[in-house]
Amino acid sequence: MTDSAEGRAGDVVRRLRAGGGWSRPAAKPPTDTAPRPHRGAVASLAVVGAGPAGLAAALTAADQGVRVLLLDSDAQAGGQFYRQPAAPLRARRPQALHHAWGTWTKLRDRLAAHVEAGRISHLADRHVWFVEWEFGGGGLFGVHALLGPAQTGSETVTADAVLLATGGYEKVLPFPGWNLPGVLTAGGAQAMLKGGLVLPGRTAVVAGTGPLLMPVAAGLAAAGADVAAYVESTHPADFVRHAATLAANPAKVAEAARYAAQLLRHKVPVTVRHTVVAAHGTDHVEAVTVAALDTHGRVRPGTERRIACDTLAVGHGMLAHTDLAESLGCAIDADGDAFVVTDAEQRTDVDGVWAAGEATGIGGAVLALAEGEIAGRSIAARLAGVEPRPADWASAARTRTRLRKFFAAVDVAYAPPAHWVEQVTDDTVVCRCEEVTAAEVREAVGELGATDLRTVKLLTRAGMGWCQGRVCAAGVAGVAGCSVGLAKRPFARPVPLGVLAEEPGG
Amino acid sequence: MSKRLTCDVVVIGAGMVGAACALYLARAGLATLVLDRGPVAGGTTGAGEGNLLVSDKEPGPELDLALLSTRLWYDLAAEPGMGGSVEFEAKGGIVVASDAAGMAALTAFAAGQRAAGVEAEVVDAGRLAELEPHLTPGLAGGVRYPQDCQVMPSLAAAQVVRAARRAGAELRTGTAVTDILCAPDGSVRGVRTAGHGDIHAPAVVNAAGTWGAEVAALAGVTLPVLPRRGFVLVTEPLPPGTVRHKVYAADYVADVASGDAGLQSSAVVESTAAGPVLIGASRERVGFDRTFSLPVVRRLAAQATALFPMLAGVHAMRGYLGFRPYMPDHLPAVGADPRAPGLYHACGHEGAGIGLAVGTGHLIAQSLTGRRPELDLAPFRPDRFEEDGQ
Repeated sequence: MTDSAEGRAGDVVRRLRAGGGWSRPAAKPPTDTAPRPHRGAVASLAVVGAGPAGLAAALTAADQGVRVLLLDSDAQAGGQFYRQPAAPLRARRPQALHHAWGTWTKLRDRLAAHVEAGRISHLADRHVWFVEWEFGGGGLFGVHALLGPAQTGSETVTADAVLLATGGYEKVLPFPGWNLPGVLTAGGAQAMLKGGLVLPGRTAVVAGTGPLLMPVAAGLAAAGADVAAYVESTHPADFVRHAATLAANPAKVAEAARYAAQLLRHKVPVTVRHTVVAAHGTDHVEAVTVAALDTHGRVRPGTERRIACDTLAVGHGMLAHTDLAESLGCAIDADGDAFVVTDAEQRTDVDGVWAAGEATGIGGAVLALAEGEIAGRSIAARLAGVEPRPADWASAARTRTRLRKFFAAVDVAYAPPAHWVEQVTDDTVVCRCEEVTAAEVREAVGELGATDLRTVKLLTRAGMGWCQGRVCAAGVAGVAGCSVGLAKRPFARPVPLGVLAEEPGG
Repeated sequence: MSKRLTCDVVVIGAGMVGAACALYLARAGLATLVLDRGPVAGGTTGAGEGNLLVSDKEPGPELDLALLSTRLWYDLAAEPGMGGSVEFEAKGGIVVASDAAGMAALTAFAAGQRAAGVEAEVVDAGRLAELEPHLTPGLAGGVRYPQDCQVMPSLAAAQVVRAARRAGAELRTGTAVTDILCAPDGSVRGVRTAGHGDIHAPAVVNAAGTWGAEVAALAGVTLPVLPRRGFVLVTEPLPPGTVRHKVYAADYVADVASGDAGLQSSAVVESTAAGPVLIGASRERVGFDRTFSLPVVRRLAAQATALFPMLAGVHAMRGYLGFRPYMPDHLPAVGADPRAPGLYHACGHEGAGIGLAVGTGHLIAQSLTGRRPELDLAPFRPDRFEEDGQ
């Protein structure tokens, strides 16, 4: 917990025990576009997420005089990208694990100055479970968060506007053995390196697809792990087709070249257009089978080979956290991987709600910073009742345009193998929380009349466990042959009934 | 154009009621085709709790249908592979009263039910604590209803459809009915579908649940089915035996019977075979508004933790909402529609459709095959509101 200004902010509402007899009209659907009335002299903004997008928006809005409440689930700001070693580890050179350290230190210092001046309350260790439109009927948003690592108590903060910078998480598709101990997400391996300064294992295979794999493989090798293979299912040639996009992003090319040089220096065997078809082991992963893919994304029979390892870091791209936006009624584009729909100012279609960063589509930290800055400018202007001037964020808008184009190309190039489902054997557990196998999902579709992910869930329990389908939805949908669609998770995380039962005070 | 399709009867809706109709129709030897614009159990069935209750019904036609359905559910659950696959549990219900006055009213209500054939055992506070150890202390007492049962509703619909298919029925999901074909005299000749063209049949069963009014309108008749929204909270799995029955407060019965459009809620708490506890049941008439209402689920949580204080530390994993098919007199429409010969209705069961489905399907099959229905269908006549209005 940071020693933040939480205690003095007037708009932090501590939960009070409330008796019975409580009644409040049901929330109106968020279609009312009337201007939000301001409470008090200074308009307030609640920012959910203190990663690059949330930080940039919070700092930009605070620069313009907005009172900002910055909520984040971690003890320290920075999000996944600028993840810091836990303070008790007293890391001497945390920058060795980061390639944008200068940007981070500037953000950190600006945040400290705003916190010092009382313009930003950094509310750390807040796990936001719901953002309520028209909280208490007073034209304010209520942001409900569970407190601290135990997440037993809850707190509600109110604000005139909300920015959702909820970030993303890793997409992992199932394969036989993916649930063995020792198999972790590429991002999980990276988080362990950045946050815990620990090596996840001694002999690692890094596999899957996407731009995250390369820094993970390089980071593991640099930290002293023996990276036995780096297995990417696409081919660099697939990306060269987007030569113009690459040329427009020299920083990205240089970044990739730097990681490639690191892999070379550590003699990491790089295998492209291959995939992990299975992980083996009884109590822990002991080896993986890797096979070549044909140009259609199908495993080429007879190309399988076994690689011994005690760690498999695997990832198939990133997904956006959209739960809070969805339950607020914001438009979500769920045709492919879901993301929050925003306009040129990063506004969602719900009045008073902005979104930036990975939540609005996967694009990395630099894009998130640009979107956060734009959102911060727009929010400050609109809360002050004036029309924002796009000229104020022209540079950020150019960065946004360029990087969105770049990541659109990344998205196309780094698609998982088209026929990955063929490798999912009937006995593969596809939902780990509820231990649902691929066979059960296939039966729900083939025998029981399920045609969508929701019905598959109802008939098999796949996606009903602790993660509520966040981990398995893409895999289950793939096996079922349907789309993921909208998540319909009203709570962004599990909430104790005692917390739900209490009326927030204030 | 595909070749002309014909069958004996088209069932519109692959929820629990449509599934049960299909099962009994197919077993009666009719060539049965089930259509649904979505998947199996995609409407209210997939958003319910799976209650097979007699406890919340006062003596009258709905209780008669519930008692018939309970018997049929026991028969169905005893079929090989069926009971387990639909998570059938004859766990019984317990209605509790907080004070002496409530207990007196509940006891009188139970006496009336007993006279109508319901098993109802009045239990004092001490016995209540034995039956449900985690109930809040200080309750006046309750009534135990051993006939109350539960199934997992989506599985029940899917498995009953599967059984119907084994008996010869055919299922087409993702097939919306766009029109009901009628002869000049108004009698039904089949349905028009999106994707499968016209399907000819001398009989059509409207098992479209909350959307039953729309289907009725396709045949030119009115059926006043309205949505009554309800929320359900689902907890993390709890150890077996934490909550043993379906438990609710006596106010629930009054809420069910209420015609008020405003919010009524009285927590209904029950365990499931899979471990999570389900908490219902709010009732609001707000049209098809799918907005998640935190205030409503807060109220459910408050009522549930008042009944079971230990639930305060248990996590709600998710919540969902659904739309019960509400009829103004709280009775479903079951049987032939004299305004459109060949059209049969099996909808409007409000929050009791999972339980009442099998009785309904059985009665529909009896009607359609010219047998004398086991229950008098007069109280369920689909055109009863038209007469009222005149």
